[in-house]
Amino acid sequence: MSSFISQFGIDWKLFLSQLVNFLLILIILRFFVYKPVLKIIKERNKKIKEGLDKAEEAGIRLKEIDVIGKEKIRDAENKSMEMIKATENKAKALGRELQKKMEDSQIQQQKELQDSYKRQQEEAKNVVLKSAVELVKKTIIKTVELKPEAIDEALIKKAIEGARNE
Amino acid sequence: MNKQQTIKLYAKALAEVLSKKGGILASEEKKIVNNFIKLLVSTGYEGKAAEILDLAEDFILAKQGNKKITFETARKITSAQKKIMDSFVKKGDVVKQKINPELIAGIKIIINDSRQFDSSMQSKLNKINI
Repeated sequence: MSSFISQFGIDWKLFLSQLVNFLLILIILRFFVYKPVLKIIKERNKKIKEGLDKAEEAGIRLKEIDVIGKEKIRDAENKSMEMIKATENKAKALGRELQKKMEDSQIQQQKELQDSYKRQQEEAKNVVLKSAVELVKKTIIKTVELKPEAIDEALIKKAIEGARNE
Repeated sequence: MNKQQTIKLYAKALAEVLSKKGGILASEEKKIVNNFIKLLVSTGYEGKAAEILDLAEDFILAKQGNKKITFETARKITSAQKKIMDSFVKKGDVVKQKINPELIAGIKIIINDSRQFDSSMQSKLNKINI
């Protein structure tokens, strides 16, 4: 075996020293390079995973926000529709009220006009009647003045009869 | 008792004394009147003497079955009209006559200052008012 190894030109001592060197380098590399690098890689992986998780979470949140936003927009639309409807209704009611007020005012004005016309007619009638009554009174007084004794006598007779029958 | 009730009471008392059955002597009457005036002055009713006397006169007349009659006419009455009016007056009635041209025609009869019969042209014309 040793001849076979020596045939391949392997120097045991050299081989051993090189093996020791290799192991030493391996141990040094393992402790000073491999482990820190592995640690760095793990940390980076962790960070990447965290980033991905956060990105995924952010995506979910974004979707949720989008849904909420859409709901809000829908709500706002509904509310604005309701407000517009309410405003329309109010405007219609106000219009109706104004119309009614206008009609009432017209009716009132018509009534006042009619009343005023009636009053004027009544006043004119009263003036005519008063004048007629005054005329009748004047005529009676004139008639009395023509023959006062006869009228006095008739009225005195009537008064005495009335007083006697009391 | 209010003032009006007191006036009525005084008038009634005076009427009772003055219209005593069998009549009173003139000297007694003077004394009664003097005392009555003193009473009015002491009670502060001297200002109401005319009213009290009027009322007493009404009481006396009523007691005797007579009336106080006021005839109010528009002008002086004729004898024919007086005859008609006299037919209403009884013996003992106190008659007053007043002329009021505002009546225009006819007559207003006031009995005992409380009842009134208005048959004047003025009242008839007033009734024609609208």
